[in-house]
Amino acid sequence: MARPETIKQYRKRVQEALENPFLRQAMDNFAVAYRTGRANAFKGLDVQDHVRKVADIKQSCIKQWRRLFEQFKEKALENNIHVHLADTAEDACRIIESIAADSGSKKIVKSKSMTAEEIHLNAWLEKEGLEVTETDLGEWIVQLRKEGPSHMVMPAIHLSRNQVADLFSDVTGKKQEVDIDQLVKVARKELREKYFQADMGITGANFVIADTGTIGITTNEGNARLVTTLPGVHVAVAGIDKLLPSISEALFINRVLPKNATGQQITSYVTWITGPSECTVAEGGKREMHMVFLDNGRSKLAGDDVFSQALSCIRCGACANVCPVYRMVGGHRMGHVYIGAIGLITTYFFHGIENARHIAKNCTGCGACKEVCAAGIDLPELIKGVQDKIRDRDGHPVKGMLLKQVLKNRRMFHGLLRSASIAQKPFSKDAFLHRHLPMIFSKEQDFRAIPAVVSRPFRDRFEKIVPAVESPTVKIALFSGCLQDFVYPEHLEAAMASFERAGADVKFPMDQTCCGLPALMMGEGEAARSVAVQNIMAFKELDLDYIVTLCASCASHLTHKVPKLAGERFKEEALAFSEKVIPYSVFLDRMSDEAEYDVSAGQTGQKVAWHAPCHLIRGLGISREPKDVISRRGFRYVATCEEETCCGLAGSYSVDFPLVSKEILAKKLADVEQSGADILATECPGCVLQLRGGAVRQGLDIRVLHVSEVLS
Amino acid sequence: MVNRFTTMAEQVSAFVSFPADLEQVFEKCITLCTQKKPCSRDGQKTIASPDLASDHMAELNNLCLKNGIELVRENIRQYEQGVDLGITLADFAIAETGTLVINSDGEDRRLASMVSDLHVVLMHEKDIRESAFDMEDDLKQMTGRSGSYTAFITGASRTADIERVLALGVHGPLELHIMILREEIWHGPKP
Repeated sequence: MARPETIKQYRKRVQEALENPFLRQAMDNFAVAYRTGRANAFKGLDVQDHVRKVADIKQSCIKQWRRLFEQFKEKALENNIHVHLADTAEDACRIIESIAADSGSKKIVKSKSMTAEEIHLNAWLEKEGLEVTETDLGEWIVQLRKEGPSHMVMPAIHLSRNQVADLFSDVTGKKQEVDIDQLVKVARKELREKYFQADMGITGANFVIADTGTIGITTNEGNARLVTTLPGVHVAVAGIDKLLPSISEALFINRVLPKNATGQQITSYVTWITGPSECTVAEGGKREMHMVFLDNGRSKLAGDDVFSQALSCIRCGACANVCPVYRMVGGHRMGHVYIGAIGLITTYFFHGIENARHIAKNCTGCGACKEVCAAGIDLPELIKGVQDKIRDRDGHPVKGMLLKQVLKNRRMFHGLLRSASIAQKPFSKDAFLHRHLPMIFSKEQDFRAIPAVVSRPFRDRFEKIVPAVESPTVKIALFSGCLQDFVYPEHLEAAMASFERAGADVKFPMDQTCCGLPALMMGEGEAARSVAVQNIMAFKELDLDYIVTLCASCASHLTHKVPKLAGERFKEEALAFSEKVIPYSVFLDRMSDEAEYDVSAGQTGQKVAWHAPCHLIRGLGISREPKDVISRRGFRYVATCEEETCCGLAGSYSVDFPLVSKEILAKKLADVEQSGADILATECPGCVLQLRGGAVRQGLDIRVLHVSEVLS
Repeated sequence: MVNRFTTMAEQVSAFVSFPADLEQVFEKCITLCTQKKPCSRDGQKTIASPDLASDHMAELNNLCLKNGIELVRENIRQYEQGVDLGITLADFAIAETGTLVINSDGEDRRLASMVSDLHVVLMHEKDIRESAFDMEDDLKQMTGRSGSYTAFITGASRTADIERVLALGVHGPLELHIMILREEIWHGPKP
């Protein structure tokens, strides 16, 4: 066994990827093209409805996998398919090895199977002296390079035509032109021979249909058809999660799979095989056929309330296609065998903690994957769950433990923040070590200017600046969040005028504290619960219409997580609290009347680009309101391509992977710069920190403002 | 429905035509075959047609003889370098995706559609269905038979595995030609 990679080695590999210009460009083109491709493929269809249905089908099948397995097995017997159930990856390899031995097979052709990749089948069979040839073009290329696939659907997406030409020149012993059509023809010729010579064909299965004992395989190249036609033996390998009751469910999933994977309506070939068909070179004129089912932890996972969702995956690869981290570093740093968001999850369950430890951290939690998942899997939540599992096994880091202690007592917590403002004095001109935001004083963090903790937090200023509204039309309280209370009080101050215009009576309960999101992200659930209850109690006695927050992260956390964290004892209070929470722009949009339509505010006709905070757009599904609110004040909103892409801060993500964070940020700012915007507005202090810090460092002529600052 | 089918099939680079009768079909096949580069090293061109009725085969064979083309019906496996043109018959077509549904239980039928450079599929207009969901019963019957091999074919073999650039004809046919017949030339199950 190779020694597990250290975090340092992993970071080094990530850095190498960032320094590979071809990879960067290829990933970037792909990320942009995919959006349009997918949208076109789903045109006229209710995507969410399709996703829900796929999720329902998969979840119901996973729960009854055993029954479906028995049913398939019975039909398979009638169809002369030999059925095997492998408990582990090794068992599966051993079974396939013995099928080869019993049938006297020496040469094997394979069509693409992620399950075969999962069990490292090729290496096993080659060790036994068998010749194994991958026939999917991309898989063949990575096999020849002795690599794994870097994408579930496009295994060689990390390679250039030049690299492929060099590789094929080596393989054929003949100089090959750098021409994609020609290179494809080289593969056609080389591999055609392999099919005819092969004794055995190995495929995966996209669908395993219980009621007829049929397997369904989708390909674009047509290689699976040759693999299941020319050799005398066919072995299909698939996880038990691929079982479906009938072809109806398979047809439905197949309607979604290609659209979500590559923006195709359907793949070139979909093949349905119900047992051995005619094979003129086989004994008895029929092929020998085996179905190897792989468990490898799946049956246990199927019984897990939270993680069974991971088995709904239909392997479309979309979660990688939209991931801002994948876009920067490619698949080989974004998974072990399975790539993308789902890879960060399944690696832990299928390939163990050693292989999952570092990659599981490489997620900004932006939620883009969840938005496009064909099976509606809550990927960020499961990744977070895997991080928690790893942390529970490895031990919690000191900073999390400290946070836990500190958050229990608000006075102590805020006292520390206040003293931080004094302690930072010698450095506060440029950068500072925040104690609650675990920023590190390192060179790698230097890509953005970091703001200082203010000497007078918002809570000390509130009484003096709160507008006196005579007969209020609405009663609100502010939830400030730590960053705006202690670092960006100006965001809240700027909002006061708009509250006054809205005729709002504003309160600021002094007992409010951190929302608890940072604690939850560090796996400190108990601390998150403690502050949730503190906050509920802080607002409980007030007669309020809304609890307004200017921080999208707080808003999302208070809305979704607090009711869950509060537990049975505070259930009612928690719900009453959460229901009142509203993001600033949504509040203004709801209250807007003639007074808001003050176009003179933006009289200079300044162009404003919008950065949609992850917690606002995907966390709360809010897209229109902030842009409308800005436009109503006379600003010119300009659309940008990367408006909804994560800024790369993502709490402690930018501390763990500063170089990736830096590149995500650079991409974002370049996009805004191209739009010619004067102002980049957003609604989360964390995003302001990242974006403003980056704009300042790069010396850009763009002002990064919170939406409240724009409106004032 | 036939228009939708045609649009969708052409979107994935299939060539769709509406020959008036079999004579036109065969003429077209001969033209396609004579115009292409041979796939065998010795230059001999081959058409594989496992499914045509014997009188139709005789007709096609006459044309092939005139043009120096070999016509084969079986043992397509011996053509390791492939055949120039393969003719198969579709059972159904799906308008929504431009897909052909072909019972491919027999090895020769399968190979004629896999190792041919040009794949010609004959189909009846009446066999077009709106979507796969509108023919679930037929599909259940086709896939429910033991030993069955049912193929959905949509366009030519394709790949985008090198730099996501689309290339046709990686393993299967380089071109797919769909010929839609308004009149039936075979009835019920394929001859």
